[in-house]
This record gives sequence, C-alpha cells and structure tokens, in this order.
Amino acid sequence: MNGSGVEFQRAAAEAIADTTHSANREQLGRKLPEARKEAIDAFGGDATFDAMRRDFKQLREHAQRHLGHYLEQFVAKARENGCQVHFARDSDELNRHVLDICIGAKAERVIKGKSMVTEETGLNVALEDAGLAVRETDLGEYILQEAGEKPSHIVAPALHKTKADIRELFLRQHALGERDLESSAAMVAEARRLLREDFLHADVGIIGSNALIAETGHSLLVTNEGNGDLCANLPDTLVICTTLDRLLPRASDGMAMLRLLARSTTGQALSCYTSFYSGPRKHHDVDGPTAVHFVILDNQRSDILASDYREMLHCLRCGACLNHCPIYMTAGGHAYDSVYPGPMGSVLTPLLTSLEEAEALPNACTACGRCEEVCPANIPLPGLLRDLRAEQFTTRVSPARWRAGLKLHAWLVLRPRLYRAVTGAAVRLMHRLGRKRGVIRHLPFAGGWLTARDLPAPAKQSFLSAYLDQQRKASRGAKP
Amino acid sequence: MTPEEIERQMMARIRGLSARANAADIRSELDSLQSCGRARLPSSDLVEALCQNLSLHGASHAVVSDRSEAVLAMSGYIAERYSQRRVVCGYDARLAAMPWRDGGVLPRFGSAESGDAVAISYASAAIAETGSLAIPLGRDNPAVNNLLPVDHIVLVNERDVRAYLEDVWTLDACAPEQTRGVMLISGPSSTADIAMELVVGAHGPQALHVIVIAA
Repeated sequence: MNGSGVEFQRAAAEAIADTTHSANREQLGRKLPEARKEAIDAFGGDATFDAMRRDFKQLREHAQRHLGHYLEQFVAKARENGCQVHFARDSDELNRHVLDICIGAKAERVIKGKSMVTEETGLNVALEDAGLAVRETDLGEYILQEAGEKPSHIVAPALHKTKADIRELFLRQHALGERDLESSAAMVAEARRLLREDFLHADVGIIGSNALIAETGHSLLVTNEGNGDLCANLPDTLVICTTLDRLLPRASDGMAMLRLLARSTTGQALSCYTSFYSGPRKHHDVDGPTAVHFVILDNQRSDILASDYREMLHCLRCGACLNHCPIYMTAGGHAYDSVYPGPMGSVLTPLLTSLEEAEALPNACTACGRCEEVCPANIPLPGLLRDLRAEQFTTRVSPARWRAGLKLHAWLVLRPRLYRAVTGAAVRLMHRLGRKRGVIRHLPFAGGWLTARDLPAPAKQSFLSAYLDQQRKASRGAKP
Repeated sequence: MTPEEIERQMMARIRGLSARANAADIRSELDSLQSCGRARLPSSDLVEALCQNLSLHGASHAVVSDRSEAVLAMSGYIAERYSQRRVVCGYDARLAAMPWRDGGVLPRFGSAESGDAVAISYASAAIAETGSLAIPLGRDNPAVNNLLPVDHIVLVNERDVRAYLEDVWTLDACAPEQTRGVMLISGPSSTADIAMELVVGAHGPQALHVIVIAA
C-alpha cells in the first residue's frame, strides 16, 4: 500500500495531471451531493434528516454496547432459519471457509455480488488459485475484473474508467465480432448478455450484507442493478460474507437504516432492489438456494470495538464522505491504495492494517468537516483522523521533521506572549511583501503551495492585536 | 483450531467487550430509544404518494377499478411492446383467479426462464413512503420472476398500499417463518457504472409497471 506520504502525493499528482480520467470523478462530486440535497429536502429538510441521523446513531451505539447479545441472537435465529453460520478471525479464515463451502458444493463456477468484505480478504484470488471460475457481476466490478484493476470508489468502483476505456476493453476482451459499442447502453447490454450465462450456470453465489437483523436472522441486501439478488437466488448455494459490526436489533431498525442509506449515496428514497434474506428455500418453493451460509469476519473489528475508534464501526459504506471530500476528488481513489478510500478509508485502513502501513492516510485531510456533515451514521471522521495523527505523533510514526515542527509549534503556542510577538512580526512582514499586489506569490517553505494559487496578503495587524488596541483606546477614552 | 473453537473464541471476545446486562434490560433500553423519523409523504393520499414515488424511480403505473380492468391494462401494456401476450406468473391464488381471457393474455404458472419477456407478480403491499412493492419470495412469487424477464408487471390491491416501510413487518406473509425472503422493488434495474450515465436494464428487468387495483 501507499504507506508513505511521498507515495500518496506521487499517486495524487498523477491523478491530478490525468484530466481525462478525473472527469467522472468531477461529475460525481457535482451530481451526487446535489442529488443527496434534493433527497433530503424531499424527506423533510436538513433538520428532520439530522434528527434521524442522531436517533439512528443512538440505536447503533446501543447495538454496539450489547453486541455480544445481538450476535448470539442473530446466530441462533439464522440457524433456526436453516442457515449455517461460520466465524472467521481473519482474511485467511474467511477465504478458507468459502473455499470449503465451494468444494462441499462441488462448485466450478462462482458468481459474486459487490462485497467490500471479500475485496478486503482477497477472496477472488484464493478461489481462483483453487481452480474455481469466479465472476464479479456488479457492472463496475465486472469491468475492473476484465481490466485487472482495483476499485477506486466503494459505490462506483469503475469511476476512474472513461467510456472509451470500457469500450476498448469490451472490444478486446469479448470475441463478439464487429460492433460499435458507442453508447453506455450498448455496453451495458453486452455485459448483461454475457453475465446472464454466468447467472444461469453458477453453482455458488457470494454476496455481502448491508445489515444483519438479530431478531429475525435476516441479511439485508441493497442494489440497483439486481445482480446481488440474482447471485442470491439462482445458484444452489448462497454464501453471505459479512462482518460482526453489521448487526441491528430489529427488522424495523433495518428500515430506519434504509431511510439514511440510499438518500446519502445516490439521492434515491430506496435503491431499486432491497431484499431481506432469511434462509434457504422452503419445501414448497420453486426457486432459491438449498443451502445458505453466513461467514462472519472479525479481521480487527473486535480490536476497533475495544478502542476509542469504535464509532468507525457504525459506517454504512454509503460513500457520501468520498463524494464530498476535496482530497478524494482531487487525488482519486487509487492514491489511497486501499479497498476503502476517502475519509472513511483514511480512518478504517490504518485500523485494519497499522499506523505505519497507512501512514499517509490520516494526513490526507484538510479538516474541512464536510464528511462529518454528510455522514448518515454521524461518525466524527475529522476527529478520528486527528486522533490517528496524534497517535502517529506519540508513537513516532510521523516523519522526524514533521514531529520536530509540531513540537516547535506546540512550544510556541504554549507561550502566548512570544506567540503573539512572532506571529505579529510574521504578519507585518507578509503584509509588506504583498503590499503592492495584495497577494503574495513567493514565500519560503511554501513554494509548492504557491505554484497553483496566490496567498492574499494579510492585514497590517492581526485580529487580536487590533482588538487589544481598540480596547486600550476605549479604556483611555472612558477615563474621566 | 476447530471451527467450533474459533466461534467460541470470537463470541467470548465480543461478549467480553459488551456491557453486562440481561436480555430484559437490553430490551428495555432498546424500547426507550427515540424511534427514528420517517419521510414526508408527497401526498396525503397513499396511492397518489405511491405513484409519485414510483415515477421518481422510473417505474410506470396505472390505477384500475377491478381485476378485469387490470387484465386489460396488462394486455395493453404488453401489446405496445410485444407481438404476443405470453406471460409468466407465480402460483399466487390471486393471479390464478385473474380473468386472463378478457385481455387475451396467456399466462404460464411457475418460475421464469431466461427467454421469458414478461413476468407478473402480486405484491403483498406497496409502500407509499418510498414507492416500493413488497414481494415475499416463494412458490407464489418466485424470485426469478422478479429478476429474469425484460418487463416486470406488479399488481397490488389498493387496500394493501401502506404508508411506511415498517408496515412490511406487520404482514404475516413477510415473516421468516412464512418466506425465505422479502424483496422491496422500487424501480427497474439500473446502473450508472459507465461514465456516470444512468442506463436502465442492467441485469434485471428493463421496465417496472405497477397496477393498483381498487377492488
């Protein structure tokens, strides 16, 4: 992964220079926040939506506080519904469970819905190494599988691919003779035709879960394409790969989550297909899987639960924080070199790996606060990122020069008179530098920052200094 | 370590990280929480609100007075798109009792196959808040009928149009004891995975047509 800041900056610089491939990202950054706003206005306005976010957060905190109870309840109910439940402490164990299930089902062909958990564990490689044919069926994931690339957004995985890229890819990969494939609709139709064969002939379907309902044993699946539901219903064996933080107490709580989820992502009131699955086909059913397996992964989540970062486990994976993040919009998803990019990924990735491995990510933040404002789970993302940075400082993960600078800064701000004297002198100097043009174009140590923008020259006095002067004048004037 | 040991270890870890409380106290704490809000309905008339929300998802709709009109509405919809009027339906008794001949529609009862162009389902409820059809899966409504055909027509009785999503869980037909799953369908299959352009008909139906039957 792009552990160091240098690697992140290099990847970000490449993304900035590549204006062709940033066009979709820019479009997403315009369209989805607008769609979210319209959906919230239709819902009842910001105040109503914010109240729901707060109420839902209380519910998630309750579920997390009593996670042991709800996990036991879910497992018992799922088994009562006829499902098999497996536990995996790490990626290897999840991959092993799924492979064993496939071997037990004598599977040759596997189809997958979009699943961040299996991206995290590298399941495809594990299954393919064992000789299974694995097909991603979410259109974006399918495009990336054909291209041999990684997702750049958690909801729109192929965001970095242009229409021309995908056209060229399909023409190269699919031996279907001459065709123009000029429109997105034509490319979607081609993928639909090819993937239909996979849906009809697969032995095992693998999906993720948006939520697990403790009282009923349901797993909630949300898609717009319908591919996840085809994976869940056509093959004889269904495997649901999920994590223990997805638990909600009641089926009605799943509905509360749904009110937040799609509105925050695409601005829809509800995605086209929202399904609650509880078990294998019943004796009178004419379709559906005969075996349903849950594989519940920990992979550091219990450590996160035990830490001060437990709020991160409330994340709904909606992608709203990515869609509103200036760093994500500028640097693109691949700069993060993680399954989870953007603000949520900058918090989660160091927690799933280590502060050293993901050193750059907590620093990939301007602290603008937009991610927290739009997060449906009300996760204080900028605060968690700040805490991670503080931890990097205290554990000496940050570069020595950076730590020395921060120490100097801390030393200075703890001495208010000296701080005011130094900053006052700096302000006066900068005021003189920018006196003619009103802007400063050159400044020591800020060359990189000033290459693409001007720094407005500051006022002659700092605010505090002007305020104190005014107070002094006022007190002199008030004296008899 | 055996799978049972791994399960015991993970369960013990999570139990150890959870608050100490008995089931009754946890339930009482849960019940004391503020219930989460609901969306403002676009109309006080539930059918009107449902239809408005369906349109936002790109689904078409018709409101008819009875089952005969419903068959005529289906027949007209199919005739606009296909030269024949063959459809596939689940074994729902309400579908079996439709006066199909009135509209010249030829139903086949069972589960859809890849070549089926039109499937007809009968929803247990429709949700006005989101413009969604609640379809419990099973013999009456096989899942493949909702997913494989090109056109999906869903019938729903006007008296089954409910205001909010939670109302789904008041229906016996949607309980896990009765069905292996419940699908909430709110529009035709769609994707924006290529250059952020919305394309309808990704993997599932390319069109969703809802017929609300008044009586």
